[in-house]
Amino acid sequence: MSAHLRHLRYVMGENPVTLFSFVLFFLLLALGLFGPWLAPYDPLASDTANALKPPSWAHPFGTDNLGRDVFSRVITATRLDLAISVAAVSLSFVAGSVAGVCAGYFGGVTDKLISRLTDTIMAFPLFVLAMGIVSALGNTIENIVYTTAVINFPFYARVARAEANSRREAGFVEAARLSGNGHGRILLFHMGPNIMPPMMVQISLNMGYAILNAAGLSFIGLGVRPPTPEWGIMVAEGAKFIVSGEWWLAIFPGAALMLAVLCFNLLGDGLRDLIDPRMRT
Amino acid sequence: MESRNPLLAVDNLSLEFRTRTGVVKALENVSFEIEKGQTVGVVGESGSGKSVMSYAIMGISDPAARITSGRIVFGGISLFEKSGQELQEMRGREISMIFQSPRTALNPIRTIGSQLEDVIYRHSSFRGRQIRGRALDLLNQVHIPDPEKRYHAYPFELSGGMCQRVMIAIAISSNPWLLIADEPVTGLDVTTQAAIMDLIKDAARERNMGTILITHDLGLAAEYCDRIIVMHSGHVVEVADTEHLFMRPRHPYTAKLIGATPNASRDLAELSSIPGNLPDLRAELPACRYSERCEHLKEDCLEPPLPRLETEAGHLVACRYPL
Amino acid sequence: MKGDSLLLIGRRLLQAAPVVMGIIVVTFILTRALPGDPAVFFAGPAADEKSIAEIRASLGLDKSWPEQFWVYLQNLARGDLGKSISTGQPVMEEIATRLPASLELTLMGLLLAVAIAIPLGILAATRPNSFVDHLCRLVVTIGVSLPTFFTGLFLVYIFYFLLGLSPAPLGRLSIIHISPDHVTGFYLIDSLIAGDLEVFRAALSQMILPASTLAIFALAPLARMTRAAMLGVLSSDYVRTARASGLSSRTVLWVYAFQNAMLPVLTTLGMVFSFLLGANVLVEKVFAWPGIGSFAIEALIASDYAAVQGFVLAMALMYVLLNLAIDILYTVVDPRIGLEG
Repeated sequence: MSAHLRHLRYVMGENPVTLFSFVLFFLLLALGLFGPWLAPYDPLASDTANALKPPSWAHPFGTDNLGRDVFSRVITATRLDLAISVAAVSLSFVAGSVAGVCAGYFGGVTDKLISRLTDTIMAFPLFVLAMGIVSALGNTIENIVYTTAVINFPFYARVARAEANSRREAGFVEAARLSGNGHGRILLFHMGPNIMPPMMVQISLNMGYAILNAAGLSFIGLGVRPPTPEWGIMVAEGAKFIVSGEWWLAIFPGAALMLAVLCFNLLGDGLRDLIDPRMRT
Repeated sequence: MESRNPLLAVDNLSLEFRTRTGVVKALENVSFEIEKGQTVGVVGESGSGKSVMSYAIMGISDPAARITSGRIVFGGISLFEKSGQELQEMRGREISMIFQSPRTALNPIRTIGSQLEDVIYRHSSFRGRQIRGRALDLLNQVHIPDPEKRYHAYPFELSGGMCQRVMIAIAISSNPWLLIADEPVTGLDVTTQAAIMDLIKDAARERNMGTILITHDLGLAAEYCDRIIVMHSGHVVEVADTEHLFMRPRHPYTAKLIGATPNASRDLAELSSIPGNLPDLRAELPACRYSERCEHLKEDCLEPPLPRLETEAGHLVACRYPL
Repeated sequence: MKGDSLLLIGRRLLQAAPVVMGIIVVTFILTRALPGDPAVFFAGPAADEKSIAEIRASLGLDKSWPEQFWVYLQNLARGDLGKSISTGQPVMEEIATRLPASLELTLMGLLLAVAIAIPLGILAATRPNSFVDHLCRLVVTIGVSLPTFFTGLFLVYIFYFLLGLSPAPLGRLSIIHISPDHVTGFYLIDSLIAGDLEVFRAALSQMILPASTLAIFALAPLARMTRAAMLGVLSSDYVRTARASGLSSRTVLWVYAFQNAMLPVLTTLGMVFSFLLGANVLVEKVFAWPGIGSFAIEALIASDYAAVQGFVLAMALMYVLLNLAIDILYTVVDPRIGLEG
């Protein structure tokens, strides 16, 4: 374990970018957890006298067309944005791991079925499929979560399948089988822990995409409804004002979104270096 | 040693790699000569610098490589004084090289005919249909059956031996003066090995071409080479005519290498392996890089300079206490 | 050789069949997964039991699922994707009239991305740790993190509001221009065919910002793959052979390295196209582009499900077609492909 920590410190020292992404990650986490208390104003309170004011000391990110404080709204939105993507990624992680490990371990028909399913999902342009699923399931936040989970499912299933497949004949699995463990136990206690590292990398690489996807859906008016503060919808609402020069309405939530995605992408790259230095590009 | 005008003279060549984890001193004061028509074997374990040296002669070293001292003189002209353009034109025309694993050494998505044509076009005055004629002629010379048909084949459609024949055809297309063969038969089956080696030997004899045969197989070197250079950890430890070297190896490493090579006349049980590994070339090293593995180590062996003794005419050894 | 290629292409086409079937099944399921009773939904709030039952029968919803699927297949074969409830037009027609706008934009974005990403990746790979290499890494990292709609708005702010270089982000052509006669549906091409340079310029100026937005999005994966593939190929045995044979740097780089490096890039191109089809929807919204993306968004908001599912199907089929084209191209370019499969 201490070797891992030392390696971690080495990677951090070697790579200030990863360090930066860690700092950003904890900032996001803090905003997600304590956002409502950190926001200087009520994110929903309108103040029409102070509408469309550019950034100032009182309102660092300016105010929107209803006089709401953009800074407070951006901060408060962190929780919802992260919650949607964390929930979606957790769902696809669990479903993808189970399906993938079963496909890789059992092979045969199970493998064929699950592979056919992932192939079919991947045959769609994923964002377009997400739009189709939301329209079929109904336009709610929960359905945004399910949809995002569905389109990310293949990534996890494929990694888990490949990892399980390569370990199917491994010594420790064979040993567990010979000592009388059932398939369930083998999968849970022997396969599971072994496929975790690559799955963790997949999570952090996928998280950014999940955030982008969810924000994209709310940008086109699905899921989250105004006046709920959420980055995608805030950019959508602010878009009208860009052409007249009130840039702060859309740019700040957009930048927050970008930083969040950047953070997870960098984290994913860093984690991949940490776990598998050979995959460096 | 009647001629004092060697085809190739490598003189005190040192080369290092700059890497993130330190400077690797891959070659140190490497010197040797090759005469026209002579076949010289370079033997040593992997990592001893054989390939690095041949890339340096070709001028195709890795970008991280830096030559820190010495000269390479080919046909009386120092290669380091030539421009990149001149070196490029010299490669494949005056010095050619063939490699290990011929199937990956050829472009996978280009027919062998086109690859041969690329080189002929580059180095000859043949144009148009003459190029194809020359290419077919070369494929015939390296005994490729049915060259008309093979002409349009891709490397993956041919066996390793066939690909190596194509490589040889490419290499000799401009009748070079020097051919460097880097482990040319490693990984091929035994009968193919002999056929390929004979092909190289005949091609060299017909053209009075100098040949450097890089190999870890001492038996192969013994069979085909006039002279042998033994390398260890970036040093040339012994140079001698083949017969001399086998009759009386003077460097402990050479003696061990000869002992490690299975020989029909000797019992396999006597086969001695060489203890220890190659030293880490990033570290500060003693003058003699074999000292760590040497059974005859004496205290002053670690002191520079590394000697180069001529124990008899043409037999050089880099050891203070030759056997 | 030639016959083999044709055979392989035929096999690819056959392999695409189950994928297309999967897509049709999924879109069928999506059309049936509508919450509540579609018939009630279609009949409207004022309908009584009888009219709902009539609508159910007219929609074929009273039949069993396999029967419904059969009907769905027959309709598809006839190019019938149902009617859009918001416009009253057949969905097929709506999509067909709007497709060229989307396709023109997407292809332009892809073209721009390829034109920048591939040289960038090559330069980065041939000059490791140089300025270009660092630039490439920066572009790759930032590029994948930028939400397309954010990039689009940002560009609008800079180039329209601040600098005034671009026209207002309002569609394919400003109202003072008349769209060129329909030949291909691509304004850039049609205006050239009509010989109307004025319209061509106007269409191009409307196109630049949205196409750049898409290009910035598509740039990252392409540049990343080009760089990685080039690095791999440049250290390959056959490039070493080519160098040792004294081939000119140009031949080594373009004939030996580049052609091999483009194979994985070609595969990436398919994936990038998939992302672009999604990103296109967002960009169309930002730039009020009258393509199928905008149409789908309107349909989504209006719960016009036939239109949305038609859109999903059309996009998926387009993606399959592109992948097929890439596969076929691959078969032609890479002689080894016949070995597998």
